[in-house]
Amino acid sequence: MRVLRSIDGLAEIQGPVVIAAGVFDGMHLGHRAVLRDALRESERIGATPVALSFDPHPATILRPGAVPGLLTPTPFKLRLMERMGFTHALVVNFDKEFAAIQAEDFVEQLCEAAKPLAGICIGQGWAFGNQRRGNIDLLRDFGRKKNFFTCEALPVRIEGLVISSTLIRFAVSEGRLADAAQFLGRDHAIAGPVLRGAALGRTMGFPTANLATDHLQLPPYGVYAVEVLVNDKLHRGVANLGVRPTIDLSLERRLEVHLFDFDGDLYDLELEVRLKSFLRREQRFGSVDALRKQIALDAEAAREFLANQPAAA
Amino acid sequence: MSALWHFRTFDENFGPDGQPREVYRDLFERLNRLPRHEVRALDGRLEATMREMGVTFDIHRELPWCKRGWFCDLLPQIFTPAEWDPLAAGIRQRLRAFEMFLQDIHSKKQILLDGILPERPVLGSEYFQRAACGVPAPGGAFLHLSGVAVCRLPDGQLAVKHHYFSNASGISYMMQNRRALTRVIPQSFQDTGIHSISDVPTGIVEMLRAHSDDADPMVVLLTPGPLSPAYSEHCFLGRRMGIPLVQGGDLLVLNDKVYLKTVAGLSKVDVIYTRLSDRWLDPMAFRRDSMIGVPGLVHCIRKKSVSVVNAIGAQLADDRALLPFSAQIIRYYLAERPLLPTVPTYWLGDIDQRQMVLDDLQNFTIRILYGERIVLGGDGNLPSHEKLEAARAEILKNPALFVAQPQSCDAETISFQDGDRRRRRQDHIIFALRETGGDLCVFPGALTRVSTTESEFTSSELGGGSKDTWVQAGADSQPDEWDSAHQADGQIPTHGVTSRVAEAYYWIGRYLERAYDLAGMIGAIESLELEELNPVERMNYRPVWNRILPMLEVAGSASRRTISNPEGRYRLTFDPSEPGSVLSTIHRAFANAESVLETLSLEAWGVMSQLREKFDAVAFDPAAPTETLAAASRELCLFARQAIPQFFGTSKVTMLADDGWSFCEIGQLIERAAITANATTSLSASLVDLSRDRHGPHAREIRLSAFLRMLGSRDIYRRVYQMRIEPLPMLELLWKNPVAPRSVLRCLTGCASRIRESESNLSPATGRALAAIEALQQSIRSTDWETLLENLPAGSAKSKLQAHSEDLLARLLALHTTICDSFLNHQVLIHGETESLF
Repeated sequence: MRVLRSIDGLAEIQGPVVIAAGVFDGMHLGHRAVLRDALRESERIGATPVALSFDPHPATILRPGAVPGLLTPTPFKLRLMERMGFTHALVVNFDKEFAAIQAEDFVEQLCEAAKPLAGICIGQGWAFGNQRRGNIDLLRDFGRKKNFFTCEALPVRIEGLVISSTLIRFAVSEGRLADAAQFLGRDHAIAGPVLRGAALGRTMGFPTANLATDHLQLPPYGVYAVEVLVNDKLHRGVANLGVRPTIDLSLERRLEVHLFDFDGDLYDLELEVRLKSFLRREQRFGSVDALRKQIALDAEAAREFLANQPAAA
Repeated sequence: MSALWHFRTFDENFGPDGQPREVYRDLFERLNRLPRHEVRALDGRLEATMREMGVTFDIHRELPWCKRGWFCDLLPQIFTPAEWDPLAAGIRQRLRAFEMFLQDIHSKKQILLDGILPERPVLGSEYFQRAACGVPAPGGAFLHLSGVAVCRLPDGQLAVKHHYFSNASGISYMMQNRRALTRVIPQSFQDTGIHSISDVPTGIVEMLRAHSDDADPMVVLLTPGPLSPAYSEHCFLGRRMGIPLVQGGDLLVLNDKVYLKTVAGLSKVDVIYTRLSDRWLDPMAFRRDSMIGVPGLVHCIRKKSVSVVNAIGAQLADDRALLPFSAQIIRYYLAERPLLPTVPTYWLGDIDQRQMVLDDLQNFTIRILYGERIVLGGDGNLPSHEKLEAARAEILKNPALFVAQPQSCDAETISFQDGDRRRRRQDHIIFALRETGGDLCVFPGALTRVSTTESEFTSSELGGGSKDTWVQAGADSQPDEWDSAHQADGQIPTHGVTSRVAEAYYWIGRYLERAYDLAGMIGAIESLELEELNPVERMNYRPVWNRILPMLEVAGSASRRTISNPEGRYRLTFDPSEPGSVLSTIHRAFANAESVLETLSLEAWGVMSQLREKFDAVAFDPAAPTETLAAASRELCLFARQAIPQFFGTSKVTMLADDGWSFCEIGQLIERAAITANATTSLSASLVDLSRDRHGPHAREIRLSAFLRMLGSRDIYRRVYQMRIEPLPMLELLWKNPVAPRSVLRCLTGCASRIRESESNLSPATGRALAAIEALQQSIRSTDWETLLENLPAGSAKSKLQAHSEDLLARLLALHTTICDSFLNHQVLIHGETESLF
């Protein structure tokens, strides 16, 4: 996927462009509806679909005191967009300067850069620009002048609930993985590159890959049965999310993943750890030996759970 | 409900009482009187007439000349004045409204601001070209030549099925149907007072010419090329209107103007009648990957140096998603009640309409917004469960891409096949023209499309056929006189051949000559091998064989090919991956011929196809036994030696002796001269040795004889000199004999005379090319070969003979560039030199 880092980059794309715009944190069913609109409209008129999102999360600049945990960090978000069929993404650097831009100027910039801008798809109620003045009406007005159409995706509801990132963050933080999966249309996953660890796991017979979890919205600490996507291949495993109280006094939070029947180097690879089931809370053991025994039991429980799961694609 | 179809449709020919309707009574009576075999004969004559007139419509273009013939039915469609007049008025009203709609959408978009139409089907249409906003439309109007598809609702009312406002495809078929039917049943025309449509092309060309201020404007018809299914229509219209048929590559933009590349130089184009979809028209404004457009065209329209008809942006009016809004558009812009209803059409991008259609899917025809593909229905039959589910899944994937219309909207009619009457379904496309004064004229005829045995669909793209369509003259108007001469092609003005056509011919000439010479050489060696040479003769022949081979590459270079064993010769004949093989060379000639198919005669094409087929029939197998390889090479090379001259000969007697043909001969002569010059140059290093008698007269004789034999000139040598072969007379024969067919001088004289004779004598390029040829001829004439042969090389340096031959060869090869630049690609004209021309 071609990732454009500035609005001017749109000029690189040949022919008309249909943009799906939003923050898209979580890439939940509501986001997918917007993105799918853009894909469909582009297919219909022979345009290039472009997913437009922002990095970092706008709240980092707009409400520094109340930044929500991220459900999908940008690289993961882009991967999910690519999987949907996007060939181009525009990631706008959201800083103070950008936050000050008027909604009209933002749209104007898009119109000028794209050759030409054929359409914009957004979710209902999405607002943008300084003071959040940009909305569907502003886009429609602009569209009539600048010759683009606007699509507004209706919110997706499940059992009367409007799906939103906030709703999913709650579900994740409370450990309601099934709810989160229903809203996301996939399992909640923690994605990121594998960090260099102390290789302690290896000495205990359970080599693990460690993932950083900074800024992420996390479920409760504990042990999870997981499926892990490594280089487009799905593996089964068990993961511990937490601070590793038995062996590490630094209390640094991380996600450690052990893959079953896997023998290979994972360092620096991007992993996508899909949390399938919560197995137990994180606890402190008296000795490393006790921990090792418990890990063996966890692994067994995870194997058993995953074996009963329908095979995932 | 009809006996054949699941949906109740209107019967076009018969009333509810089962009797023929009034308008058809006479015709049916006449046909009823004829025995079946005579009806069948008439039917056969009609089909033959269509084929003879070359009317085709290709759906799948597998083989050239194997195009699908156009089907026209014996029984015409007849419209009475009572039916036709309101229909024409309705079409005029619709066109007026949509013209205003296009003007509005490309400027203020008031209709959107007033909330009459939703934005998505308008601004989100594939046909909405943002780049067209603010571009001047010719004569201030978008629509000049339009088509409308009309069909019958079950109650017999005529209704609009589809807009072809920007693309009046089918006019030529409407006219050809009339021409064919007048030839087959002339008496019917004499008895029935019907309107003539023979002056349609005149009307169109007058309209086109009016879009230029020039008194004698250059008007061209821009076609996507022979791959377009309606290419035969484009050819017909171009011919009947007397305007050149051009492809994107024939036009070029220079200094804000559009020019047509002809062999007579660049000719400014004033009006373009385009049959290209907007988005392919200009890669600089629309799709950048368009290879069939004209880069910079939109800029020229902005500069008003050229008019394009229909105006870019007009295609928006054809979007099927706008059909449901036709009535609103008419009411909004004209404040009138729509005169002609639209077939109920539902755009599936709208959630309510989609739900309604999906609930009752089997009763609908589902089409894509753009193009002719039908996803479901359209054939009058209830679809199977599988088809329904497949269509449902496809719709749900991207609903906004589809429209639905009820299945019951095509009328039922009678069509003749093999003398039998068959029930068919039909609809009509009616054409209209915006006249110079702005009045809309609906042509009194139509392309009536009928389903056929092969296809239950009426659309030509989907295999449908057609009927001639008669519009009866009213009591108060005089029917046109029926004069068969009036129906014939008018005087066809001639135009300079476009450079593209000339270039294709030039390469046909070059490639065929190359294949001919190579086949000659391989054939000569295979024959020599058969003659069972003794080892001494072999020893003397072989060096010549291998030396002569690089003449097809670069003189004197080492060749990786080999001609001295049967496997090598077999490869050189048949290897498809070998770019210089006889087979590959014939393929290239064939590809060039295919690109100018419309200008080749059927007979010439026949020879060419036969040649290619024969070569293609050989399964390339270099591992076969040596004898098999040798026999195959010998046989096919012999065949090529016969078929290639046959092509040139046949073409000469069956084709127009225009500039296109001249360039084929120029290509042939240049190639032949180049091969001769290259061969003698290759041999020149050893000629000095040979003339010194180092190898003895016998060896020399054998070598030179082999050489001349491979060039097909041994017998000619003997006829001219009647003596044993010596280097000096041989050089003189090959370089400057005025009558020997291979001589370089004779080839050059031939080229010069063809350039001189050509219609394009006006071009400044002519003088340049002629000067280059004459200078080279002079150098060849003044060469003293005897002195050169006597001049011994000093050490390892080149002999003077070799250096001189190489110089002449280089100048000869440079002629190719001069000819291409001057007549074919206009590089010289585009770059600097002739700036003052413009």
